[in-house]
Amino acid sequence: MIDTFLVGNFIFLTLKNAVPLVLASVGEVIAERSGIINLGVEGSMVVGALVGVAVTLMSGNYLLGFAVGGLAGLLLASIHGFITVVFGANQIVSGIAVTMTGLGLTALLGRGYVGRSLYGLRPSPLYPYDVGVPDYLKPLLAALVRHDIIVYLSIIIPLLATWLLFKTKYGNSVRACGESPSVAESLGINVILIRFSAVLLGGFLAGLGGAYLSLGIVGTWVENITAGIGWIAVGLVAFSMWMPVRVLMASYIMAALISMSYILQGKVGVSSYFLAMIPYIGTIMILTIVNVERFKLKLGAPTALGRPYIREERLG
Amino acid sequence: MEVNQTYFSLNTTNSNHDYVLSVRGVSKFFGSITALKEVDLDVRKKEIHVLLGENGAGKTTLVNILYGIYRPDSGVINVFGKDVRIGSPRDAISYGIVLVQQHPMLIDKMTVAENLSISFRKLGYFKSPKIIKELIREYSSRYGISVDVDALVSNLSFSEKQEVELIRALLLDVKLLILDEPTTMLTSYERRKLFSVLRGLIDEGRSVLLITHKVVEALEISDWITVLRRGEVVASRPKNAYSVDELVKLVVGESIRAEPIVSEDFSPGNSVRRPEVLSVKDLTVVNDAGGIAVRGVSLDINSGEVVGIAGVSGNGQKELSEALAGLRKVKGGKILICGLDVTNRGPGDRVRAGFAYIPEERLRYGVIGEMNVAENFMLKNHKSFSKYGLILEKDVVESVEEGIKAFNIVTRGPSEKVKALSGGNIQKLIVARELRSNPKVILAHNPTLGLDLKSAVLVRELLIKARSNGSGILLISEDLDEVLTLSDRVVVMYRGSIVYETSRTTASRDVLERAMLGLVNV
Repeated sequence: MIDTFLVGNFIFLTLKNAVPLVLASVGEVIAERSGIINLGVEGSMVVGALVGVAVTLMSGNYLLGFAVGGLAGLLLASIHGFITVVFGANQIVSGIAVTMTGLGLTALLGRGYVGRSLYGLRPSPLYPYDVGVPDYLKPLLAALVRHDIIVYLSIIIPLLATWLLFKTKYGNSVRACGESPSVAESLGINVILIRFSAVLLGGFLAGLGGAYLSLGIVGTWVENITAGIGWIAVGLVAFSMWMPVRVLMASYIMAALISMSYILQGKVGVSSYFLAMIPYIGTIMILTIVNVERFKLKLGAPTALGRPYIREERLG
Repeated sequence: MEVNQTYFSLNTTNSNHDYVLSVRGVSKFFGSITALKEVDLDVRKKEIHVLLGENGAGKTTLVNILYGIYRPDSGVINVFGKDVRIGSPRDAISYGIVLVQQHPMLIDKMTVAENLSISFRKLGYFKSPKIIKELIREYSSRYGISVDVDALVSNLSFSEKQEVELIRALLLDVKLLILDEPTTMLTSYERRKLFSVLRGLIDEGRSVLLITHKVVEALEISDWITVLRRGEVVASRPKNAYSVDELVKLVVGESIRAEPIVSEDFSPGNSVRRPEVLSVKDLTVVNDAGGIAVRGVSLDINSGEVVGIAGVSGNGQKELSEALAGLRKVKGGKILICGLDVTNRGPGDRVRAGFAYIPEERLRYGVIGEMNVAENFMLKNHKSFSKYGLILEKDVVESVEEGIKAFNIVTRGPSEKVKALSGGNIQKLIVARELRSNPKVILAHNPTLGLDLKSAVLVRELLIKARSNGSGILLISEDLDEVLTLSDRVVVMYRGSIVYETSRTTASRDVLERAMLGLVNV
């Protein structure tokens, strides 16, 4: 007989741990589809996490905290937008700077919030599971239905993003900007506006992901709460070949690994240092892809990914 | 150069508001280069207006200004009687101006419907592009254009892409359609079809501004011709007010031989068998996406022979030429230069074996734009210009100046940055450099693409001269006339294979064109 409690716990944790990854990665997919790589995801997440806690404590409404956390992520991403989209600067450098800013800023401003419990303000489960099922199956059922609304929202968002990117004019415009900004421009698209909006949307989703991390998972604010989750999210984008639905699956795989490490803690010797390393391996991977044309083509990356668009250049 | 101002003032009853477009005194400078100088242009309603001129005359710069891609440094643009500021293609489209550029402005990885949805303004941002599919079908049947709305753009031929752009213009309810060199890559059948579509647009009350460097074409399609030379308008009259000779003179600025070289016949049978300089055996090459682009191509080129590869662009010519030049890995088969196997060796080994390369993407593979003329000129010949690893400045300058003169390169001198030169002059610089070492094999890929008539004739003559000196030349060109003029043998490439081969004396344009479209079986 399998230990349903253990398995249920594992599934439950996986679904929960996947939320920040899904939200941030889908956001990054949208930004990268427009041709802008945003390494500021980690920064947007950590800012979203702190603002989420602060607003929830102030207002007593965790959904409000969650939403404002998203806006905070958007605000930070707008710095990246200005630097890279409006001024056409190097996207890698700008993204890293934005992340550094986010981490530093939250460490400074978050001191008063460290350890303040959100008990009672955290998202509460939607569905009681005490229905007529055999006792030993209850943990499994609970793992699927006893979540807060954000977990279910995180499943819908990749589908919404797919619809947005592939079934709307806005999405076509975003993809056109990511494939060839000069063609997009001549098709009558405002490239700056579309790219900027995609970066903002990405920042908003990253902020939401960060807010769920503090509000829904950790339940309090701690410095550097993201601990590389944002970098993993960036890595998952390439792993998912810029497809929002694949992001969902990739996030579950990654979240399962993370959850496994919680459950197996002490039982199997997986070094925590090894786990801490994963995000950065992912980052190296994506930087390689962005800079090697051949990989880019093979993986189906947006052709103009990472390339600034500056108008009025004399062409050959 | 002295410019003859030969404006033709015509007494028309037309008042000003019959002008769809009226341009006054537009100038544009790129750094120290004057691209356009005080240009005036009037396009009337229901008119096909041809803007004629050599490359580098400023035609493309002008249309880029009209479409809001460049901004003029001075001058006034008036559309339907209103002075306007065209700051972006969006602005231009809102005034009813649509530009079909020389290279299709479409996103390859998206479908036809998706591409068209982007620029269809009546479609809300969060609406599905599906709605316009019906509209596209309606327009395409009304104008006799057939497009598959669900096809991926990357799978379309050049002329199909152009048709998609025409439908785009119609969806935008174009008032003034601008086409930049639309016929360069079309077969004669496709060209006739395009012209009949354009006539249809005129009948509906729209106007067309067509840019070309071909005099014959201008006379064939236009109502009115404006000639641009070195950034200035030198003539603007109704078509009938020109004679062919006069028009050619206006375009070129001085009389040149209109008909270029006809190479004397070369038949390997009755002369001494000349040595093979390039031998390609069963060559297979993959493209960037991993698909097979060149399948089992075999070719032999003898010394003193020109072999021309004709074909519609995108049938593996690019991959073939890159593989021959050592810029792309070979998947199967062999490449021998003068008997030496260079199959998977780098470009350096090929150069040492006597290989010269005139690449298609001259700015990418031919020159380094940020470096000056002299530096580019000695790129392949550093050894002969240096001693103990130090560059002999004087030798270089002397030899470059010689080259500039011999090849008629228009530049301000050896120290001018190459990116400031026009395409024709860059090409002449490349040819000058490549021919300097008396190569055994020359690979010329679209050597005159985008060049003005004078430069094109010069480049072709240089190739013929190299042939007389014993070089074997592989000419890959989309310009069938060029292939027919220069080649001793003609082969046709279609979908990565050689589907047809003939000698020039027996070549028929018709058969070749059909072979290019894959309609001939070997």
